[in-house]
Parts: sequence; structure tokens; C-alpha cells
Amino acid sequence: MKLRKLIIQKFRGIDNLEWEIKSDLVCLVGPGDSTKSTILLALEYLFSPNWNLPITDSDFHQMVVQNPIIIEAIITELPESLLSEEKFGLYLGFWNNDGGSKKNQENDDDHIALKIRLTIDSDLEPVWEVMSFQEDEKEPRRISSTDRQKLGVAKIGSYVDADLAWGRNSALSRLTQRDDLTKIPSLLAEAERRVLNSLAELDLSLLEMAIGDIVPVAQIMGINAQDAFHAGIDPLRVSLRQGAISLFDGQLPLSLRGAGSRRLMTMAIHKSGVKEGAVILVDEIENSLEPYRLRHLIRQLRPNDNDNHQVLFTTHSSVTVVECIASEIFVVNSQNGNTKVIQVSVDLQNIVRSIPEAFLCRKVIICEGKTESGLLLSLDQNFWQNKHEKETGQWRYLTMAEAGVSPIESPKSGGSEAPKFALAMAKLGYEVAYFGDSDRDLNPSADCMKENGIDVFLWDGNVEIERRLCFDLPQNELEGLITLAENLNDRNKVWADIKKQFSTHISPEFCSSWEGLISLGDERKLRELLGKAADDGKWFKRRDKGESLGTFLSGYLDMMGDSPTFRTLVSIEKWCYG
Amino acid sequence: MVDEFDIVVEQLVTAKSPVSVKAAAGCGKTEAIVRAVALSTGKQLVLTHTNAGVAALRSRFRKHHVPVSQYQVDTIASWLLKYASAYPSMSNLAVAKPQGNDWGEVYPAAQKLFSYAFLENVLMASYDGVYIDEYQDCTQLQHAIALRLCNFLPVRVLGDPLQGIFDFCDPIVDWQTDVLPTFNPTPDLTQPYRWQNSNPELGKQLGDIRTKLLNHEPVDINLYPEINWQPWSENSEIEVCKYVKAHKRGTIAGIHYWPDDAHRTAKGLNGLYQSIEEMDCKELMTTVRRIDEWLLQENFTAIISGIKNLTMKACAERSIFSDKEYLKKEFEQLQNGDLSIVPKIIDSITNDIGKKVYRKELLNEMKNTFQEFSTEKYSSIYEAAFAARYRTRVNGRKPENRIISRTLLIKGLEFNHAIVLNADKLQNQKNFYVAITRGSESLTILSSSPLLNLDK
Repeated sequence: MKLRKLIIQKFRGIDNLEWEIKSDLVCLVGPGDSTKSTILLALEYLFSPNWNLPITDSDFHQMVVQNPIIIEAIITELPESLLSEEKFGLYLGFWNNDGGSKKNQENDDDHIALKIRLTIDSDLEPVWEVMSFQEDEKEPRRISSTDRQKLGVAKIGSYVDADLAWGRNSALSRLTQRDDLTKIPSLLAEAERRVLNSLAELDLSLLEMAIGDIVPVAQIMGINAQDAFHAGIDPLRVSLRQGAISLFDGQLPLSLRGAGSRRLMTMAIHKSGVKEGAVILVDEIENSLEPYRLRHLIRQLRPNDNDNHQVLFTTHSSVTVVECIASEIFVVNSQNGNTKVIQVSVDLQNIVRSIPEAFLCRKVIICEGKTESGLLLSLDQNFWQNKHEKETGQWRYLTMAEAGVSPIESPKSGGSEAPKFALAMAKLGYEVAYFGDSDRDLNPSADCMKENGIDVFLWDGNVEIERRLCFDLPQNELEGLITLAENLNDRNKVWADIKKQFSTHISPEFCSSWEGLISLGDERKLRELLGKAADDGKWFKRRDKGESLGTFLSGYLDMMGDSPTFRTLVSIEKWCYG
Repeated sequence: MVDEFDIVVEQLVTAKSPVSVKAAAGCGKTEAIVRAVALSTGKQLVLTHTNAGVAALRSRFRKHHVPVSQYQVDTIASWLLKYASAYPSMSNLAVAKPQGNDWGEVYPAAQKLFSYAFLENVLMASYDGVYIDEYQDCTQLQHAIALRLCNFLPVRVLGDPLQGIFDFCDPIVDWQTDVLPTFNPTPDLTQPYRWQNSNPELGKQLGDIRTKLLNHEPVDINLYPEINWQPWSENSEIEVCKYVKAHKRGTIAGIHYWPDDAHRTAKGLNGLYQSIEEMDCKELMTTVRRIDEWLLQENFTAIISGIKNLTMKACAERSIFSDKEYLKKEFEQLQNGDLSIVPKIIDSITNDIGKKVYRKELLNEMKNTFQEFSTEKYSSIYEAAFAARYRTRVNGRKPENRIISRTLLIKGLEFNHAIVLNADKLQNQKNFYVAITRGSESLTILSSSPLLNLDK
């Protein structure tokens, strides 16, 4: 069975969602509370073989029970038995990968489809129906729980142990019963009888010693034995039908294995369970799995061309993201209940490969270079966090982690790809900021980015960060900057870079110490040349060096009051934490 | 020695390619279908033409305790309508609830729908095989659809070309040129089971007559001792009917071709035999249409006279309404606009002159119509009449012990005694054959001469 389209209305955090599912492997990402788990839950409920669902008032969107919950899906690749006239043979529609759903079969590549809807209104009774594709007022037909079960949708959840035993509704039972419907219950009943019989042969006389004392007292109270009091085994408490027969590996039950192994085994059972193709739903697929097992799992779950399987999972792990190709990743975002699921375009494939964590944030600052991203990380930790703790009530979030912000540098060095990347992320629904040096040759342009909702932060004056800082740092700290550069790089190289810039203005022998540089006399020029040296010399062009720069800056930012550096960083601060 | 019946059943069960069975009247066709379905695996679709046929098949299935999961019985028209109306945009069916002539739209719509590929998936998921009964009555369109079904399911068709009396409407299939080329014939069913326990000699003699008819030879009734012959006259019709009633027990069917002849004979019998109405009950529907118009004009006088006229058509009594005190109050109420009193009026009349009513069915349908109308579910009396008649169509007519009917209405039914009231007016051999095979105990034929030579 394949899911082609999903519509959810008024369910938990989702006011409305309409999603055409264009992949057989679906990796749902999105910040917390983006409703991605709700989407999986909705699917679980829509195809649940249970009579009842644990629905309460809080499952209605904004708890307005007057608005019924509606979950509807268009599905194809149906089990043959559901196509019969007495089931849904007269309720069929068609699905075309390019055209969507239609009521007439026109082309060879039109798949036979059904529209299934779950409605829950204020009486909390779930009603499952198959809807007509025709525009007439044809009454929908109920779909029974047995028929829903045939569609083979399985959610791998927390109660994996149930599926590892032959219990009433377990996947293992369904897999076994697929070929031989009648024998299981009688087998279990017989097993139960034999257990009881062999227990009956136990000598329980030790336990019966107390009975001698009880009998006379009971008689006084008016209780007489109809036969004779003795110790026996209560069949109600020795029931094998509730899952006591379970899957073993040698002498040990599988339920003793680690959570990861148990989840994997459950997925294997579900996958083999439905010959016409199962749909497996996994919330947080990375749970309990090491990266190597997680990668292996995803590769194994990925359907082949001839499979009719589909797999949908949510994740917060970048290992998962890396393992998927761009078109398998879907970003869920929800604004006031308006939920959208957007497929990541193939253009972002190299981001998927190299910066998977970008897709797992709420807000992203695309930094043109490594210096900037390091700087921000360090400022967050060393400066802003403390500042926000003191300024209680002013800031929504104390740290970037709390705000879900991730500074990310563009994958290609030189940063020319950064604006494109920013735009792509904005189109996926992320809140994006661009932090760069200048607006020269930005492609797409800064204006274009702004039109797409991206906040653009650039250093004043079209200069790189090193030069900006050299302009804005308090004078007595400039020497400290050089010292920092010496610590991060080779001392001689640093002074060689300085000499290169200054030698046209002062004589070379002055270009080897701070005092020598001051002799230039022109503070502004000094700052300009120093900045150029830092830039051309690439003193801080590495993330860790940028971090150190940030740490350095943290000490003086308070004193930089009105400078452009300060203003830019303040606006970034507002964007991140506000 | 294996019975021809068992051979036929075996071929029906095991057929992978299309199969046809020719069965003479009363020779076990229905039994063969039921037996074959019981022995087949998977669900079988069993189609016939009339609701009466559906009822007969269902009751035979129940009698033999065939599990309901093994079969689905339906009329061809309503089964095709189910599909055509489920997919109106592909079948182009305009009317979801056809009435009267609309039914003709269903067949081209179904044919159009069945040309789509997905139907194969649906039909193969629903059934393992198809049986079509009374195939001789299939139109060319229905036949085309049956041929299409042959592409994905085993199809077996059963019928008797000698009973194809519905050939006056649309062109129907020719057994020789349309059916046999596609549907391989099994041996014919010729054992006269119907007469086995009551009058086996009659059965044999009827078999002989069949052969003569098939060969277009004249039939000399004198050669058949089990068949009674009387010279025809309007009077002898009445006399024979009275005689049979007086001397025989069981159900009796007097058979004409034309409706007016049937009503006339029944009237002459003063209520001893009931005349059967056509399925579409035209006289009632026309009257009811007029009543709707008069109702809009609030012309209750005209309504009363309309009802009286229709009632008089059903009764052999001349003066049902003159000087009837007990009806005065009711007619006053009707004059004041109370239509719900009509069923009561009819009941009163029936109580008074009941025995003289010879078209009970007509009166009953009128009563049902007004009862339906008083439930206020309908916007016109015509609609109420249609609904009442539809219910009869589906549930079947109330069985009467003695009827005067027409070949078109009694085909497929069985009685103890059959009286062919005027063989010369039976139009053709087929109607003749249908008429003479209705009675399992006795047969009486009235005609101008005992030497019958019906063309066609």
C-alpha cells in the first residue's frame, strides 16, 4: 500500500495540512513542536485496527471540540480483497503521480486509489469511512477494522515488546495468522491446558499446612468447604494467550535485549508481515541505535523499485539526515496551526551531506565565513549568556541552544554559495538570517534575500570582520588583538603580514613592535592597515580562531558602545534571542 | 450411466471458457444453476432478467442451504446500474434512479464503463465466475457486455430460445449466430422434472410437442391424450375455467396473450379468477397523474370520479357505488380534501363486494398508493404510486390460487393446472410453448381447431 496524499484538520497542533507524499522513504524533520510527531500519530490513528482510540478533548485543535478532527488519505497499491464489489470496488478513484487524484481512469499510469477518512467529533467516537471520488452526494462506506488491518500500517512505538510475542493484536500474530487463520488460538489454548495440567501435578502440600488452621475458624464464621479446601493453580492467572509465548534467541527472550535490538526486530516483523506492502511509521528512528546501526537500518528500510513498502519517520539526528538523499527529507513547519510539509530540493544535496544539522534547527544564521560562525558561538557562550541572565525579562531565550539557533557556515570556502543556501533554507520554511561581510556581488542579492523573509546582517562599510573590528576596538585593546593573533598563528608570520602593510608608511624597523606601529601617528590609518593585515593574513579565518576572537571580543564589547560592530552584533542578538 | 443433468452441472463447474446450456421448460435449469454454484469455489455472480427470477433463484439457493457467501443474485439491469451509477463520469449515466424508459440508458452506460481497465481488477476481486439465466431474452447490448465479461471470468449462459418471447422490443440474441460461436454448448437439458411427480406422461408429450415446434411442424392435439382440447368461444373460456376450478385442486392459470382479453375473461368469471396487472401498472399511473393535477386545482369532485372509474375497472359488479350508505360519509370526507380516507373506501368496497373483484392487484395498488402518500414522504401521488409499485416489483406479487394472466407475465412460473384460453391469438410458437408448459398436472387448450399451425 502506498500513501499518496494526506489531509489533516483540527487535530492537536494542526489546524490544517495538505501534503502530497512524493517519496517512498520519508524523513520528517522540523523544530520541536513543528507537529511532525502529530503527523505520524494521525497516520497511526487513521489506519488503526482498534475499535477505539484514546481521544480526549485535548486532541482537538485548540480544544475546540465543535470542530471535528478529520484525517484523510489517498492510498494506492491496494490489497486485492478490498477491490471487490462488496467492499470498495464501487468507491474507487485514481491517482497519477503528476496529476494527483482523479475520478476517471485515463492513462496507463493511473493507479487505482481509495480515499479513507477518519472523523472524530465531540462525541469522541472515531468513524472510519471510505469516501467516494465522484462529486455526487454518494454516502461514504464504513471500513471495518479487519479491512484497515489489511492495509498494513504499523507504528513502531514504545511498546515494542508486545510485537515480539504472540499476543492478541501483535504483529507477530498477524504475520503467523496470515497463512493459517484458525490454528493459533487452539494451539495457545492447548498449550495453556498442558501447562495447567503439569502444574497440577506439583506437590503443594507445603502450602497447605496453613489450611488446617483456617478450616475450624471458617466453620465458625459460617464457611464450609463444599468439597475440600486445598492449594490449586488459578487458570486466570496462567494465561498464555496474552503474550506469554514470545520470541526467543536460544534460551533468552528477545525482550531482554537492548531497546535498539528490540525495535529493529519489531520493524523486521512488520516489514515481513504484509505481502502487499506495509507502511512503517517510526517516531524518532534514531532511538536506542548507534550511528552504524541507524545507517544500516535506513538502508534496509529504504524500499526498492519493486517494493510496495513505504517508510515514514521523524528524526532529530544528523546521522539520519546524512543517510537520506535530499528528496527523501521533508521539512515540517507549523505557523498557528497552518502546517506545511516541504520536500527538500535536490539542489541542497551537498548541504544534506555536509551540514545535516542545518535541517534540525529552528532558526539558522548563514555565516559567510568560518570566522563569523565561530565568533557567534563564542559570544553566545561567553558574553550573551551572562548578559541575558542579568537582564531578566528582556530576552525570550537565554542561549542560542534554547532559541534553537544554529550558526552555520557555508559549505564552500569563500562563502559565495552562502546566499543561495540561505534562500533555499528560507524557502523550506526556516527562519533565516544572513551574516556576512559586505553586499558586494551577493548572488542572490541582499534585496532578494530580504524579499524572501531573510534578515540580512552585514558589517558597516562593506568591510570584512577583521577590518571592522580594527576600526571599532578601543585603542588600548588593539595591541591585545595582535597578541591574540600571535597566539593563534605563527608569531613571525603575523609580524610579516603587518610589515607588508605598514612598510609603505613607516620604515621597516618600526614594523616589529607595537610601539613601532604607533609611531605612524595616524590612528585611523593604523587601524586600517592593521585590519588589512589581519584580513590578508587570514589570522582568524578558521572556526576555532573565530571563536577565540569572540572570546577576546567578549571582554570589550561593553566598552564598544556605539560602534558599528556593536550595532551589528546587537541586531544579531535581537534576532537570535528576542 | 451418468445422468445428462450431472454432465451439464460438471461442465458448468469446471468450465474455463464460456459455456451455454439449452434447457427446455421445466427441465431443471434452475436446479442446475444452484447445484453448479454450490459445487464451485469462490463467489459466483448469478444474473437474470426479472425480480421474480431473482426471487425464485434465491429461494432455491436457500432450499439447498447454499452458503450466502457463494453467490450473489441480481437482475442484469440492477447489477449494471450499480456499477454505472457508481462511476457516472466514466459511464456517462445521466440518471442515477432510472424509471421506465430510463432503463434503456443503463446498458450503453455500463458498456462504456466496462471498457475501462480497472473494472477487471474489481470483478476479479469480487467473483470467480458468472451465470446468466434466461439468456434467450438478452438484448444485443446485454450480450456485448456478457462477451466483455468473458475476458476475465468464466461465463456460463443458460436459456431456451423457444421461450424468447420478449423479442418485440430491442433486438435480442440469436442462439445460433450470437451465442453458440462464443459459448460452447453442453448437452441440452431435456428431462421433464417439473411433471415427474404429478403427470410424467404430460411431460413426455410436451417434450414431443417441443420437437415438433422446433421443426416448424404442425401440432395435432388429438395425438396427446393428456392434453384436453375444447373449441374456442368466449363462452367456452368461462365454462372451462369454471370446470377446472370445480373439479381440480391446486393453482390454476388461464393464459391469454393480450391484456384486454385477460381482463375480459376474468370479468366474465365474476371474481373467481384474478386478473394480473402488468409490472408498470399503466392504468393506475395514468389515473394517479390526473389526480395530481386535480389536486393542484383542488378539484376533489374530479378526484372522486377518477377513483371511482379506476375501482369500477377492477370489479365485475355494475353498481358498486350507487346507493351505498356506508360510503356516503367517506366520500364526503374525500370531497373535503382528506385523501387518507381512500384506503378505507377501498377496504369498505372490498368487504361489500369482495368476491366480485377480479383485479384485486389493481385495487390493492391503489390502496397502497394512498397509504404511502399519507406518510408524507412524497411530493406527489405519482411518486407514492411508483414507490408502492416498486415495492411489489421487488418483493413479488401476492400469490393467488386462480389467475388469468398473459404469457409475458407468467413465463418462468409454475402452476398445477394451465388453461390456454385462445391458442390462435398467441402470436407465435414461442408464446405457445411458454403457455403450454406452465401446468404440472393438467393442460387444457382452447382453439378453433385441434390442429395447430402457428408460424414462427
